Amino acid sequence: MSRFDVNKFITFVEAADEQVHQFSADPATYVARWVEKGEASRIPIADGGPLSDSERTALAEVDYVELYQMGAHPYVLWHFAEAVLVWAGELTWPELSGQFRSAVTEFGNPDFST
Amino acid sequence: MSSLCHVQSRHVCVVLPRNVRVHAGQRAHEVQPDFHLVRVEPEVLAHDAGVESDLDIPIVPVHANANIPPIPPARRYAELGTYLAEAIAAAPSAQRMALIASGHLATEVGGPRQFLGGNSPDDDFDRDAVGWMRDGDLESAIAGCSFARLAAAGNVTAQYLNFVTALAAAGGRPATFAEGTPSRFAAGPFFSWDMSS
Repeated sequence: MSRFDVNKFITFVEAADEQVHQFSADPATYVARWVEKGEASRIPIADGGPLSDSERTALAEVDYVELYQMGAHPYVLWHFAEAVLVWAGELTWPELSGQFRSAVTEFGNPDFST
Repeated sequence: MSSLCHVQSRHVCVVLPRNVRVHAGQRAHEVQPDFHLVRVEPEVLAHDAGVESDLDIPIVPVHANANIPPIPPARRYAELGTYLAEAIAAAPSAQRMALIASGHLATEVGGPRQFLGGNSPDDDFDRDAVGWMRDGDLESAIAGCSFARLAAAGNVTAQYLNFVTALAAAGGRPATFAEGTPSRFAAGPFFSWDMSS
């Protein structure tokens, strides 16, 4: 688990409407392309990087509960979930807010240091 | 040093948390370890900072990571404030400059306490945090802002560290105005220093 790389991914997506649209259109392909671009570069880049298999799956499925347990930073994780679930129309903000809080409460505050 | 050139060319210095979105055209310049000076177009800043979109004054956002660990110790934020104050004082321009900091008091986003209602996830921290600014008590602010204490007050409370930068930039003098304004989920921090006297 690289919390840094997961945080980098979710921040990159949620911080720009265009990226949210691209991700939402085909999350699995978006994640795969991110990893491929990271592998193709000899230096760190803004729009690509390494992700483990479990990270790829959790990101592609927007499994914010799993990502929370992994140690993704709660602040950016919330905004990622908000961007791709609420703004994409899957959930209303009150629905996500309630579901998110209920889902993560049992896990307390995981170590989200990087 | 290129970052100093920006300050000396009468730009306003703005200390902002990392989550303020900045994308195109900016170049980051290291001003001190842990911190970068980033120059962006005013309309980019306006998007998230609520500044007028027709702003016609130069702005120099300073992005200090106050969200995601590793977060520098509080004293480093104070040193950044001192550095900014010295850079502004050394500027040859006679134009007025403002230093604006954005941050939080006790706040939780994306955790078990988010959006629970009530004034704050940690009233004790808020009382102390407002008091440090009101009293100009920089050393107590630094001592009271360990990562563990900030995290206990909420997972994004570290953004308060930007106010430690502001307090240091003001020379540690008591704030002219200091208040944690009650709000729905977290108290809103409002601090100002009149540097004219």
